[in-house]
Amino acid sequence: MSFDRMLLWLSAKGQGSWSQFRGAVEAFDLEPDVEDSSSTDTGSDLPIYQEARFTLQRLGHVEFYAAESENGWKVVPPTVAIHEPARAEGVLCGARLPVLLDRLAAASDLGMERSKIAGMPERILVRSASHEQLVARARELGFLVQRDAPASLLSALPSVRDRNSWHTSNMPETLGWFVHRFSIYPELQWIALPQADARRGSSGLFRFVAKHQRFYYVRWRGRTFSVPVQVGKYAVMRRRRDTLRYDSARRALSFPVSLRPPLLMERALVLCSGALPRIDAATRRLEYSRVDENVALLAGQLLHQEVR
Amino acid sequence: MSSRRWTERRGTSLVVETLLLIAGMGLAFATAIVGVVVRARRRRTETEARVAAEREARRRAAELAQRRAEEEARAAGARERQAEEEARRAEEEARIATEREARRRAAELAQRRAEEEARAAGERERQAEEEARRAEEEARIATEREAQRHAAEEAQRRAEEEARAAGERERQAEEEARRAEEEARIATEREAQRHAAKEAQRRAEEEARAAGEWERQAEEEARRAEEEARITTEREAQRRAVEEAKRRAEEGARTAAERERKAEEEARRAKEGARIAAEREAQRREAEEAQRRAPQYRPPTGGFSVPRQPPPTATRNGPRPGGDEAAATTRALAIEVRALFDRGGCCRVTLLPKRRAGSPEECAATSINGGGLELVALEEEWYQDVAPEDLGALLRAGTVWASQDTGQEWTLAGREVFVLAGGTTHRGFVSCPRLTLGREHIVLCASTRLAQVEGALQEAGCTNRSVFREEDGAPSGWVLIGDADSARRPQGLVPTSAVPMEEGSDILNVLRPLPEIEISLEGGVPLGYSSWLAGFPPLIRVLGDAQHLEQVLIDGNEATIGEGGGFRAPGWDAPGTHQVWCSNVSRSYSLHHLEQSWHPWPAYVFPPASGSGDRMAICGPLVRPLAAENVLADATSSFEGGNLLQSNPILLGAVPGQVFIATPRRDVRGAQCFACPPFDAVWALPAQPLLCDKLTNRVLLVARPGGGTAPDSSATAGPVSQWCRLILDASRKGLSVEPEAGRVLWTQYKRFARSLWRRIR
Repeated sequence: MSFDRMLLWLSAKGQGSWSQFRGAVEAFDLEPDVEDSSSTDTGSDLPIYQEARFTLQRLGHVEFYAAESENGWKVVPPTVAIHEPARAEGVLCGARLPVLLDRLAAASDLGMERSKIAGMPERILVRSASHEQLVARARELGFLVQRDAPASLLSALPSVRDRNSWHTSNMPETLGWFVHRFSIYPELQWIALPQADARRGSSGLFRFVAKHQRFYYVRWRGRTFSVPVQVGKYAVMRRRRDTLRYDSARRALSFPVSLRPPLLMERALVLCSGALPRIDAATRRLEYSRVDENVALLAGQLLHQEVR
Repeated sequence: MSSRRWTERRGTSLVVETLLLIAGMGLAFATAIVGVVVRARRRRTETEARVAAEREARRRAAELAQRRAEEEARAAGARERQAEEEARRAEEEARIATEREARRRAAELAQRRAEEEARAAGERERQAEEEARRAEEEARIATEREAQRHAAEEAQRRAEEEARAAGERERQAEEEARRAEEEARIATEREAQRHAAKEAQRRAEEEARAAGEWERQAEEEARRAEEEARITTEREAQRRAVEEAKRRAEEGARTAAERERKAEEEARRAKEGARIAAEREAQRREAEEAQRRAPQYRPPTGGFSVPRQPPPTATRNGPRPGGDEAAATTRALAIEVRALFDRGGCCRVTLLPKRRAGSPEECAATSINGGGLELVALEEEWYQDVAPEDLGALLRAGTVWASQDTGQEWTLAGREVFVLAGGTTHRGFVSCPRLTLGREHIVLCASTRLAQVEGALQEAGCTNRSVFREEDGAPSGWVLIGDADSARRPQGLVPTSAVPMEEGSDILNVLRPLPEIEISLEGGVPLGYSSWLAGFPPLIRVLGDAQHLEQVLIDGNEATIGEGGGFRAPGWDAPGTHQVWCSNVSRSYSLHHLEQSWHPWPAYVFPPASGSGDRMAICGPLVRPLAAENVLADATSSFEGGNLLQSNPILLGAVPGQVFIATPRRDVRGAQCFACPPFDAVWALPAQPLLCDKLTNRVLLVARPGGGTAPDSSATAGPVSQWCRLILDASRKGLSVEPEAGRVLWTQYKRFARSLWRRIR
């Protein structure tokens, strides 16, 4: 309920600053559901504001710190994201005001399924008799439409090793940073090392932490690039057999909790079902449901990992 | 005759008549001719006159027109001059405005630079002061060290002197020993000489005394033995004297070393004592400062109804110089207390400092209780929670935080009872001045006050209570009192009875709710400034003593309690402004319908993975080619072909020359290809129609349903020959058409392309 009201507020405001978003999280009393397995044992020490932000980003409702929202957030236009090619079902993303939902509900040739899922706004699936009818009617009602959203998103993303998508940068030179290197062997872990060693390293993924700031850098052939942590991990990892697992019977794609896919890739996987991934406490893996095999294979290729 | 005469007369008259007639006719003719001539002349004259008049008129008209034209030209020229004048004026004004703007910007820039320089100067000054303080401190430490060093040097010098004296004594002892040895040696030599002389004498005597000198020899030997013993004893005594002297010298040196060590020890003790004294002094000063600065809470006093006591905000140091603005900037801000519960029943108590608008997102502060802390902005008016380790002691004693960078101070008045309220702008419960009837509260109190607090809460109507202790997360020495539902989930206490306050300053007065009325607007979807989103109105509650509660009106209509416990009246949730009234207290709210329009924008832009082609933009779930800078291509104009562009990247339109070649991605198998052709595509062809495998490749009909698909012979666009060649190549290759229904149309295109190709060759 709180996430729904918060999304209404975000839709009404349109865009704002990060501090306004934090204030809204406080005002709408967003709290992680302790009983929901998706929010426990994540190993995350992020405060609730970041958790709320990532939830909305992964679901494709709001963009943060992107173009035209560099210092805050901006809500995505109301869009019907169709899961699969030629399917007549899509998930509603982006802004949602009562007038829009009323319009959708009043359309007799469109069906709406609303599901309350803990830890996220209400999932709204839109259905029609045929794919083309869904596309046409949604556009008539003022919604944008994205066909085959998961595959389209993945097709537009660069692979994690595409250096054109990395930002050339410099490591901090001031003292006082806690520096760690991402080690692959014998197991995936962060190993502390002196700050000077990071700059001297010829390759690898490094993490710089000071107070509440964290920066991640990839060193490659003596050059330094600033990357998101998920991209960096997969960029330096070799191809491993057991990282990505795909269950074709259940159409579920899973990742280790510590190797979450990059944000936009995760958004593509979330759009397959319209729901956030589930955490399997026993295997410590994130599981995305209703993922088609070609989507799983695309994800594997972008991450340079074998899909088992 | 008469007849002949008549006939002659007649003949003559006939001739005359004829002549006359002829003359007459001639005259008539002449007259007529003259008349005609005259008429003609007159006519000509008239004509000429008319023509002349016309010419004159035309000339006049022309002159008039010319005059008019000249006037108009003059007027146009005047207007043009005016326009030029105005344009010049406008340019002048624009130039002046530009200059003003430039001056203003320069002034702003200069002001900003001046402010920055002032800030930097202030920073440098602060750093200089800091460095001066450090230098003084170092100088003081250096002076102390110097004094200690002198003392140590003095002790060392004394020790050296004593060592030197001991050495001197040793040397003297050795000298004496040497002298003693020398004397002993001399004595020995003398003795030896004497002995030799004596021996000689004895021998002489023995020689003289021949017989019976055995005793005398024995005596002599005994004497010699005694003498040797004496010498040995003397030597022993001398050796002992030397050893004694050495021992004394060593003793002196040891004593000197001991004294030196004692001197060092004393110097160390003196330094230690000075350090301890300095620490004690500093602690004493800190304690005095803490006693002097940490504010203590002043509870509300009873006896009569008083307004809510505002939290202490003014610093005890008094207003700073600089006027009201400086005072407003540096006036101490409040530190609130916040309690957050999780569903397991554990709580977390933190401090929530306020933030002044415009203050930095992060700032470092120091606490008078010791230690530093980092404040990070939570939102415009608040910093994020701070969880000190010694929270229990800090709540009781109070604290003051100060930021050296901004000069801002924060205060928390120490006390033993805190009242926290829920339903504020923050999650959980945040400290408030006192209990309010009808509102949810949590009470945080010192363990020693539990019984009194529970008694006060009982009086206020909070009968169901749960106590959360240290093991539940309460600070050390403190407890939290709230309520819990049937599932043991924490919730707030709701006081229901107003209680008169005790006279005097009693901390428990904060647990005695006042009977005053308050209209509360909660929940819904607030848009700010008492506005809510239509369809999600606030929950209207009236808090206060029920005995003092009068009728509640909304827009003049009597309101009743509806679903959710809020007041409702007819039309209360309609868009527009509404007013709630109760017991001379009123509050207004407004509901707004929002018909927003949203437009997609390129939130993320990626270069084409294939190295050529359109850049791709992403916004939420939308994926579009980037049509122009910061503009996404419209879905209707971009080609949504799914995967078919991987195999058929060439798109042809209905107009000859409409050719678009998409660039599929090669680094990832199965990826979609995106295209934004500037026309409605009709056909999709393989990349090389002549070279592809016709068993697996097709010509695909991709026209949108209802779009024009027949070849357009009325226009051309772009490379016509390429368009024709592609169609003819595909035809020559014998590629089949998909779907089958498109064969007829494909045949049309082939014929058209063939005829066009022949024409343009």
